[in-house]
Amino acid sequence: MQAFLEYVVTGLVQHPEVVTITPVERDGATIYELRLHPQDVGKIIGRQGMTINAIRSLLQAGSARKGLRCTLEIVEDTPPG
Amino acid sequence: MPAEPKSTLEKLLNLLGFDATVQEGHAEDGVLLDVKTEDSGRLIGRQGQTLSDLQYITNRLLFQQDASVPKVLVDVSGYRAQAREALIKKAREAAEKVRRWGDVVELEPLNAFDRRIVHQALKDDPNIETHSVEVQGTDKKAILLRPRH
Repeated sequence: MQAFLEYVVTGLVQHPEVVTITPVERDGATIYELRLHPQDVGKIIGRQGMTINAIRSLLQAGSARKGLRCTLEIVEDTPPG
Repeated sequence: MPAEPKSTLEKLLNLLGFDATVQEGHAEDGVLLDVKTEDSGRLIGRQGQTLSDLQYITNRLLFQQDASVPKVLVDVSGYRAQAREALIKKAREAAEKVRRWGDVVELEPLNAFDRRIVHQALKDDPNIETHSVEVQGTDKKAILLRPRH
């Protein structure tokens, strides 16, 4: 599922070189933590969350076939200080 | 890089783990990509939601590659065409009820795309008026069929 997310996210943003996706296991589910260039956050969320919800929906359809539970979260690291 | 609708969709399906083939054809205003897979139910999703999401993401990716690329319509084994026929049939049956009994009939909540199909299907019916109304307590809309006076 990570390869799917990488393909979609890097295909939609202006700064694909700084995209990182980190899988974190929690309660039997995999949460993919997505870090982006600040200018790209809005692009991935989309109007009324349309884009990120569509990505989540496909992620679920694909992972359910393999009996997995996965979700995607955008992480915005606050700058130190 | 020129946008390649068919290979973009194939790549998405492959990465999602679907064993699928894509056939390219012509739609009214763009490219039609029809997906054949053994797991079509899962790819279509409840009321076609997953299919809509797949179409949306495919178009977003293509637009990013080339802003002038025509819109892509994604279907799974003719599901969209069938769903459209079924919706029109349901609208006509409701219209018949209105005509026969003079009742007001409310259809189930539909998205904007599907409401348009219903309005279009009944717009030339001299006996029926169609209105979109908000379903109370939700942000959804349904269509009301009323006798036309």
